[in-house]
Amino acid sequence: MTKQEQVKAIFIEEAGEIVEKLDVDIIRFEENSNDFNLLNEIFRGVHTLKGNANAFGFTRLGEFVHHFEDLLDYYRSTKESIEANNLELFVESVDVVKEVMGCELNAIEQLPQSYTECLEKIKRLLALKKNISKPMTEQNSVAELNDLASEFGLSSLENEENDIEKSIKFHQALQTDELNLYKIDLNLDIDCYKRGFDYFIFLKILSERTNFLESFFDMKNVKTISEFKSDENGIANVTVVVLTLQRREDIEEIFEFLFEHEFHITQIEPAVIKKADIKIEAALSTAFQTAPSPAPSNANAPKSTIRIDTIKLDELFDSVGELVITQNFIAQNEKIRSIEDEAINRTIETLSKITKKIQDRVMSLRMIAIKDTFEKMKRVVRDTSKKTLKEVHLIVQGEDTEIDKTMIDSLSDPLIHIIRNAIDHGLESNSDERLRAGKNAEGVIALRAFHKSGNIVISVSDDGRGINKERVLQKAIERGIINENENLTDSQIFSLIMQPGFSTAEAVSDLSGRGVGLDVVKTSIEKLRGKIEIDSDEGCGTTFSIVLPLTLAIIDGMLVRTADEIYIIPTLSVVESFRPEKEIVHIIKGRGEFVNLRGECIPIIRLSTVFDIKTQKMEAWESILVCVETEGGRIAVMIDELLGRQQVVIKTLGKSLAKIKEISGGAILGNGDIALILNVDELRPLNEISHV
Amino acid sequence: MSTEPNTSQSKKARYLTFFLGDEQYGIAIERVKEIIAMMKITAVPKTPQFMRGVINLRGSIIPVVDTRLRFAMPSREADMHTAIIIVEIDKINIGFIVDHVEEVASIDESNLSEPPKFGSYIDTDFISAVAQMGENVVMILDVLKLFEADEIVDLEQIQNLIED
Repeated sequence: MTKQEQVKAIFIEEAGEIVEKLDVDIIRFEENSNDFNLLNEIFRGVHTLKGNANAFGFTRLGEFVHHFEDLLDYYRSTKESIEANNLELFVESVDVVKEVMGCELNAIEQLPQSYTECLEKIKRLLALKKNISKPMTEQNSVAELNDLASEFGLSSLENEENDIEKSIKFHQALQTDELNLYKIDLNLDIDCYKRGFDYFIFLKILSERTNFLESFFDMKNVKTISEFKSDENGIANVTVVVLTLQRREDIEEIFEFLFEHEFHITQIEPAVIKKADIKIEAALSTAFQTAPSPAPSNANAPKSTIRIDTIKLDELFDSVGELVITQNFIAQNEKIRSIEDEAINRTIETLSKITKKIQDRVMSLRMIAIKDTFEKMKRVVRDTSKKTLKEVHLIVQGEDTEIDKTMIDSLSDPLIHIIRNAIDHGLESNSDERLRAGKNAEGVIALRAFHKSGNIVISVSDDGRGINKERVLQKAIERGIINENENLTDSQIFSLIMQPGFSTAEAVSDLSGRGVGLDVVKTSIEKLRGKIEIDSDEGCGTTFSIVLPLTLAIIDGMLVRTADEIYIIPTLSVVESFRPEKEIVHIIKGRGEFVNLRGECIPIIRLSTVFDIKTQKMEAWESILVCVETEGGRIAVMIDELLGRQQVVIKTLGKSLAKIKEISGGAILGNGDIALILNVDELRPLNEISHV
Repeated sequence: MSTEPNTSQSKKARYLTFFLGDEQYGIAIERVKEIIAMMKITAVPKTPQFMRGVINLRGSIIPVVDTRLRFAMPSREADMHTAIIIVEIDKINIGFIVDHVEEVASIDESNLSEPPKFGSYIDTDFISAVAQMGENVVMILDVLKLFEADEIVDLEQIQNLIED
């Protein structure tokens, strides 16, 4: 990578993060549009993005965020409350920013249609705001500096001059590099109406060409109503403060038909070189403008962080794994233990404590709170609820639950999918239907994250109509996924909806809900070594639970032995293990061995046969059966002995051995031996597969 | 083929040489990561016979090939000379079990010749060249061909297909 590319890569990463944060912030802001800290936060994000985009020549993005920034800045500085429809525009703008960024990164010429539309809306709103903002701005700038304002009366000349000065200061604060600030004094002659001019013509022209405009009318020479002449100009002086991109000549051109004494333009330099008495405040304002990050909210001062390549983290993780094993070896070595030396024993003790500590710390490096992902989901809920015209109330619990970073990254898409499904198909189609069922009109979606027996569970629940088991069964039989007379448990029935081929467009409309591509969700969760459990109560709602291991690198495994080989079965898939009575083991001709477990007929898979290992234990009732849940239903894996349960660090066997489907990896045990981890989904015997 | 002493133009390359039975073989030294003594090997099911299994090399799991079986030579009990040569191929480490490691030899390029078409146990595809070293003939192995990353499993699958 060249230097340029590297820098660009950093930009892309940073911009991506900003956009992601914007996405989250804007939704939070939508919920609470009075939170000006949040608005500042959004403003800062957009501001940084603008700088970055322009630096990398992404002019289209730059142009858009520039105007968006202006708009945000308007609200930020006026503290004006934001109208609902304009709030919508904000959200829309963030969407456009996202899309345009995609276009810029992939060098796509065609910008989305929303780009111009949205940009127009922003510009229009800004123009509108600037026009009606004269009194508003004045008021607010006064409010902002109310300690000064209270010292003066309202209608004196002094006050007006003061207001002008304040206005200048105020605009200086908004001034950026490319903007010029002018103070224009207009003193139109008494006969100007006859020449076809009045102040408002100029104000109108100015307002069209400038970004900010504030005007001050000197009304003190206006004659009383009895002396007032409609054809004479009674207003001696109007002072206009404008912030504009235009140069002085352009401004002068506006007034070219006036006499020279009738107008006077003063260009005001940026704030830093202002008069002494306002210097401090001006400097503060400039600082606020040019260095947006150390903003007023000191309360949430940024944490100091560094970026680390995850590959490095993985390497560190591996090394620590070795350290732990080596340390275990020392601690358990008979010869070392026989040394009766207190100092050595103490050192070994300390070593194991430190090792444990390092291991915990390193593990925690990979863990981040699921908060950000949940925040993103708020957006999904909001959008889906608007699209489906269903009112939805979102409950979020356990956002501080920490989860492996690599998992978080691949968790978003499945979650989005499940949430959309829950709102679209899970909830009743309209509020009438809900009211009839005795529920609140507003549907409830609950997003939860919690720990459960060594795993992390992320669940999405709705209080909708639930899954109609009969129809699922019927559909599955129609589609040939199951046979007619198969006896399935509830959870097996529910999991049918995640079978590939089950969900087609037709299924969605036919069924009581749930549909598109849940099999994709299932696959991506399985890639994370997790699984999905569905629980549903017809009429009361459905819960999708994603059960994930604590980290990708470690699984909880059950150590089993067959002949001299030790294998690991992931505990996540183990249902139970038992030594069968002779009576419940049956051999069905042509279909192999089965065990009748409380009425359920489960095929027995001899590990020794699958892996071609010689074992002494020839009969199922002499061995142990481990009942595991697999994609194709339950199977009972026949092994010689259960050795115990242990957390193991998963290692790959390398590219060359990755193709062995039955094995998903290896783990190094405490004594340094390697045990292979079984992929139970692939253990079903060949003859069964050929049957299907 | 010249047997003259090295001139300044001659290019020398270094090879790690080892024995399988009576035959001496060489592997380009750049590919050799390390040589370790024989250690416990965990068998991996569903692999061809020459794939002996995996070892734990300081925390990494590395597949190990029984070179004798790979060359269709009879298997042999490990003894104190048996060693595993760890070779890096395509950024993967792979171990090769050999009878014993001999030396690192510098071989002049001019001493290399085309492999013969007969006279050795092994398929000549694996041999990239033959070098004369004093009285001995060293067969220089092409490790890439010896261990195509995908081959082990592919072979197995082909065997399965045939059996089916």
